[in-house]
Amino acid sequence: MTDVKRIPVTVLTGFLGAGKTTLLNRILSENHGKRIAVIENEFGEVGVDHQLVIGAEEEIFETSNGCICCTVRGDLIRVLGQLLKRRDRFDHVLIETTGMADPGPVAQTFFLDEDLKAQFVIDAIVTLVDARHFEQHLKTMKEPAIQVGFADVVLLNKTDLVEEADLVRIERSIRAINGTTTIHRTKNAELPIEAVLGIGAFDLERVLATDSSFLAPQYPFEWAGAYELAAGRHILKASGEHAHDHGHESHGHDDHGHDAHAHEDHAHDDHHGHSHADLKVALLPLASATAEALAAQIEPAVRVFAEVAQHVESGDTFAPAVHPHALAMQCMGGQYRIEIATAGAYALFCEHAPEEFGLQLSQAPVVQQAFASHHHDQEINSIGISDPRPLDARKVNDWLSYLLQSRGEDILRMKGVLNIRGETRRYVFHGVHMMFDGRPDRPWGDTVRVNHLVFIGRKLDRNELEAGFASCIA
Amino acid sequence: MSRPAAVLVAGPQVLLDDYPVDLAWSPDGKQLVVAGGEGRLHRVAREGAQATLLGTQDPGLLSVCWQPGGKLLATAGQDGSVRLWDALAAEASDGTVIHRGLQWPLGLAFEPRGKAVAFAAGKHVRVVGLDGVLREELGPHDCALTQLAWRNGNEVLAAGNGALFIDRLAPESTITKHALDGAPLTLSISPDGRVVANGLQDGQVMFRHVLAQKKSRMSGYDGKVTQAAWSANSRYLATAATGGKVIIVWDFSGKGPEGSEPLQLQSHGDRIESLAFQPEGPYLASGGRDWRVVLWRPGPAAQGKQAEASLDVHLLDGPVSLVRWSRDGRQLAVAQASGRLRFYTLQA
Repeated sequence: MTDVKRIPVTVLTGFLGAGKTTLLNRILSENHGKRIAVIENEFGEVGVDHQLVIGAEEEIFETSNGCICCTVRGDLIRVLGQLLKRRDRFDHVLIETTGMADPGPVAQTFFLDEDLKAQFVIDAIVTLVDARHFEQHLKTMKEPAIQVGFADVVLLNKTDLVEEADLVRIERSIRAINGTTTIHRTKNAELPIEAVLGIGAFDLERVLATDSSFLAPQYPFEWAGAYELAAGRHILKASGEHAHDHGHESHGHDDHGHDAHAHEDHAHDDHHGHSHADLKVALLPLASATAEALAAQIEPAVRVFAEVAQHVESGDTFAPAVHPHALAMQCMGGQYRIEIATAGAYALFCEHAPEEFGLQLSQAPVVQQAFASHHHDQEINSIGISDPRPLDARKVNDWLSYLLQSRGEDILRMKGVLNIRGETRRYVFHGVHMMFDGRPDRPWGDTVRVNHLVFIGRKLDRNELEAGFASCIA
Repeated sequence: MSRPAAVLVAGPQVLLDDYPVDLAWSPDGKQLVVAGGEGRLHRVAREGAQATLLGTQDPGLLSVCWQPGGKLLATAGQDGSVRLWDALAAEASDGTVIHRGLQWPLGLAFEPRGKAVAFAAGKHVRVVGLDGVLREELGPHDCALTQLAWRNGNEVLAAGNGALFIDRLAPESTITKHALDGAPLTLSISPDGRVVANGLQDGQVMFRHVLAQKKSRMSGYDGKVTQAAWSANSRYLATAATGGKVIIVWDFSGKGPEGSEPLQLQSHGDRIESLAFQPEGPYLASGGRDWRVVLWRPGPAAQGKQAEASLDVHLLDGPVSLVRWSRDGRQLAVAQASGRLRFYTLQA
C-alpha cells in the first residue's frame, strides 16, 4: 500500500441530550471548506442536515477469545471501507456514537483493522458532558466515566443551566478521571471548530505538544481562587463536618468499605468521615486578580505546598507566606483570620475543594480554578509519572508489554514520552487498551530530558505503576 | 494430465469516470451495468465498450442488480435509497426511488423471477414490489443485517453479527435464527440450494447444510474472508481472505469438505479482490491487487495435489477490483479501481 495521507477521524461520544447533534450541525454548517463525512449511530430527534450523513447500527464484533481489547466496530469497517471507494476523498470523518457507547471498540477498530489503519487515523475522542446531569449519571452508570476516561477533549456543555460552583465541581470530577483531557465550557455546544477538529491527539508528533497537560493530575491542591483584598482583616469561615458530609455524598460515596479502600490506595491525610482533619491552604500574592496571574502562580504554589505547614487553630490569624497553613477543622468548622498588610490581588490555594468544608472567604473570588489532585473518588482515574532518570530500552519494553497484557482491559488510554539511555531522540508512545503505538521522535536537543507517562484506567494502582517504572531505570 | 487449453482473449475496454463498486450483466450478455463509488451508474455495451450514463445517485452507489429476464435495474445507494432504473434508457435520469432510509440498504437482490427486490436495512429485511409498494417487512432481527440472498421465491436468507436468519415470506412470515461464530462478510447459497456459506470477519468460513441441519467451520484464513464463490454444479466453493494470496477451494463432493484438505490455487502476489465462477461451466476467474486477472479450472484432475496451475494470467495496469462472468459464461468483465473496464472472451 502506498503511503497516503491518512484521513482524520473524530469520535463524538456523550449521552443522548448532551448536545452531540447540535455540535454536529454546528461543525457541518460552518464554512471551513472541509469535506466531512458523518457516521451516525444514534438518531436523535433533531436531524443532521448534511448530504454525507450515514446511519449505521452499532455492530460490535467480539472475537472468539472474548477479550474486550479485540472488539471492533463492524459497521465502521464496512461504511468507511465503502467511502474509500471514491477518488475524491473526504477531508475528515465524524463518528457520532450512541449515548451508552464505549469508545474503546471504536478506537480499537482503527488500530486493529489493517485496511482502516492504513487509510484513517483517529484525530481525537471528543466527549460531550451535560452539565445538568453529569454528576447524577456518574453516580448511577459506568459509561460516563468511561467516556470521559477516553476523551482527548471534553465539552462541558449547557453551562448556562448550572451555577459556576457546579461547573468547578464537575470539572474537578472530570479531571480526577482524566487528568490529560482538555475541557471546554460551552453553551449550545458553541466553540471554534479548531477546538474540536484537527486535534491530532493520536498523532505521535503531537502527543508531545501537550506535554504540559500530561501532568495536570499532579497538583497538591484541588482549588484556587483569586481575590482582590483590601488591607486589614478578612475572615475565612468553614462550616465543617456538615458541609463536608454533604459534599461527600455528592461524590457518590456512601459505602464506607469503599472509602477505606480509597485510603489504603492513597496514603494521605484522611478527610472523609473524620471531623478533626486539617485543611492545607496557601495564601500568595498575585500580580492581578485574573486567570492569567493565577495560572502563573500555580508552579510557585506547588513549591509552597511542599514546605512545612504552619498550624492554624480556629480563631487564629495568618498572613500570606511562602509556606502553607494547615487549618484545623473542628466538627462545627472554624473561623480563621487573615491579616493583609498591603491591598492587592491574592490567591488562595486549597488542598481540597472549598465546598467540602464549606470554606468561604468574606468575599467571593474574582476567578477560580479547579485542579485534579492525586486522590479521587472514581473507579476510573489517571496516574501520571514524571521522572528525569534515563530508562533502559529493553526493560521499558518488557514492562509495557507486561502491563498491556496484564492490565490491558483496565487501561483505557496511555501516552508518554520517554528518556531512553543512549538515545538522542525522545521515544513517544500512546495506546488504547492493548493497542500500542510508539517510536523514536525528534532529538531532545537543548530540552531537559524527562520521562512523562500518563495512564488512564480502571482501578489503577499508583504504587504498582511507579514500581514498574522504577524497574526500568537504567 | 492433459486438459483442453483455455484462455481469456482481451476485448474492448473503456475508462469510466468513477470507481466501480459493483457490476451486473444483462441476461443476454450484451450489456453490462457498472455502479460507481461516487454514484455514477453506467451501461456499457459489450460490443465496442460504448458507455452510457444512466444517472447519478449521490453521494455514492453500493450495489446494482439486473432484473432476471427483464430490463430493470435496482440500485442501493449511500443516500439510503433503493432505486429502479430503465436499463435500456438512452438518457440519464434520477431513477425511481422505491425506498428511502437513513441506513444503507445492504444485500440488495431481485427475487428469482424478478418480481420484487429484497434488501436489509438495519435490523429489518424489506421486500419491495416493482411498483414501489412495501410488500413485506421482516424483523426486527436480533442484530443489524449486512448480508442477504434469496434462496427461492419464498425464502430470504439474511446474516449479521453472530446470526444467520432464514426468513420465510407471507403467508408464513417466520424468522428462523441460526448461530454464526462471528460476523459475516459474505453470504452465498450453493446453486442447488443445499449449503449456505458465510465468510467471517475473523478468518473463518462457516457452512450450513440446510437439509441435513449440519454445520461446520473452516478456520485458518489469514485475515477477513471477503470472497466466496460457488461453482455452477455446487461442488466447489472458492474463497479468499484479505491477508492471503491463495484461493482456497473446498470440495463438497462425497462427504464434503469436512476433514479434507482444500485445493489451494496460487498465482496471485497480493490480496485477491474478486472471485467469480461461471454461472454455467467449470471456470473460475480471480482478480487481485497484484494487477492480475487469472483463469482457473478447479477440478478432479487436481485432486490430491496441493496446488493447481493457473490456465491464463493477464497483467493489467493497476489493481483489479471486480471480475464478473456473463450469464452464458462466455464473457468476463473486469473492473479496476482506476475506472477502467475491460471485456474478455473465454476460448476453451
